[in-house]
Amino acid sequence: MIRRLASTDGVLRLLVVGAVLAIWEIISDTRIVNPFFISSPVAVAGQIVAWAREGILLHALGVTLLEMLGGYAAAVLLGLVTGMSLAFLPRVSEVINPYMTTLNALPRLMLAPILITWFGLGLESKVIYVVVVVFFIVYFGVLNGMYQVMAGHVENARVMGATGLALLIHVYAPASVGWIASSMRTAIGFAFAAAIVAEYIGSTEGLGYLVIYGQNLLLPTYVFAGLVVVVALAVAIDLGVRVAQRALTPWSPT
Amino acid sequence: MSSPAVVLQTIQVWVDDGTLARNLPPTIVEAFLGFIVGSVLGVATALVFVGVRRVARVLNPLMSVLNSVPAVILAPLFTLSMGLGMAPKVVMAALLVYFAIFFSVYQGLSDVDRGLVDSIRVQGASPRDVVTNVMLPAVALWVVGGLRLAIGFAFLGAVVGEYLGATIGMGYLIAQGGIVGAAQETLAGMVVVAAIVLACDATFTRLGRRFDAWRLF
Repeated sequence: MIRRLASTDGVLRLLVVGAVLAIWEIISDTRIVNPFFISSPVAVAGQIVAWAREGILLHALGVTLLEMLGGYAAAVLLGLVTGMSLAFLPRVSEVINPYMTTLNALPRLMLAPILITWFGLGLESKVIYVVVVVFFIVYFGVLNGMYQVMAGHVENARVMGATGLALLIHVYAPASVGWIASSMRTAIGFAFAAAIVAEYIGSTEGLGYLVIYGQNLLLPTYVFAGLVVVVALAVAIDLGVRVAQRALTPWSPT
Repeated sequence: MSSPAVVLQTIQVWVDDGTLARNLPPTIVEAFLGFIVGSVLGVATALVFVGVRRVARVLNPLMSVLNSVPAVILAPLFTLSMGLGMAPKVVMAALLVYFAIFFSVYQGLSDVDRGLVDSIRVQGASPRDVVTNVMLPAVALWVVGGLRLAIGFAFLGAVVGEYLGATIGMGYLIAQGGIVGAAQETLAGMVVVAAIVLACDATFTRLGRRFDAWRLF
């Protein structure tokens, strides 16, 4: 019974997606809306295949992933280090945290133009931009995680002679890994968005560049094909991270 | 590289020569229109999801897949199909706001204590009473939290939309500064937008505290 219900839901879900694609193709083919502006699913699929054949797709994918993962890795490392050290330095974090909260409330994705002005059109500006966008998310995740640690556990470990690194590895890390993992998951979506937005604003290669190239030359098929790849990648990354998170923190409900 | 003094000077010049008076209103209008449209649709969708279980079951996985796609990356799509005017920016802002509000409100509504609903039903409450006396108070805090998140998204949508193609607005000023290599203009524009976002954020935080006071369950 349950399985049957699940499968009808699954079918309905596919129908919703299918209907959207069908409507898109139909209004394009029948010229209800000028296909110049909306392209069509068939044309978009053709464009993606063409890019894949010419090697354009793989190159763009490589560039974007490099920007994203480079910035993400740096930001996570920085967030872990600063978050963990500030958790042990209450005076410092008392002074700094109001500023951190303010910076965290800002939509930092809008900073792309200044970072590109400062660091140029290449890889460097994108990696730095990703770090700026993502760092605060990880930092607050780590900090929240560290504050969740039970004082009793720390005291028990201290009584048994744990200090410094041992305390960090055996008490703080296990207690905060859930928070850290969930902030890292939020962060990877932002890292991806940042890499793409930076490529929109100023770049010479990458998936975002393909899209913005299409926009500037008024080639909707380029824009849609680029976005389909970008969206598929975003979904795949989220799925991958979700699986990884479950493996890392099997006790958490998500 | 510019400097704080130069940036402030640039803002002063903009105030004096009317640049700010010309470029700020379009951005604010786009952001707030997007904010209102996105919030209303987000709350409405959440209500439908809670009211009609079947819709929630079928569409929930699709919503979370859609949510895993950062909506800002869709900006070129709207610029391409709607041109350089205000429309694509409003749609961008509304879309970002929509997802933030939907998930926040839906989460809030799903967390409503079933026991409270059941007990006032037993005492003869109508569905309307349930909504006004249990659902709305319970969800208010989530809505305020969502709105706080959403106002930043609304301005982000408007500004990024303007980066990618506009003839007026703060995002246009910022992008122009980047194109002509005038870092002080890019920075000045960002400072103005950031100040507005932070002011809105502070207002919502205050509002949230007020709701916190009578949050007993």
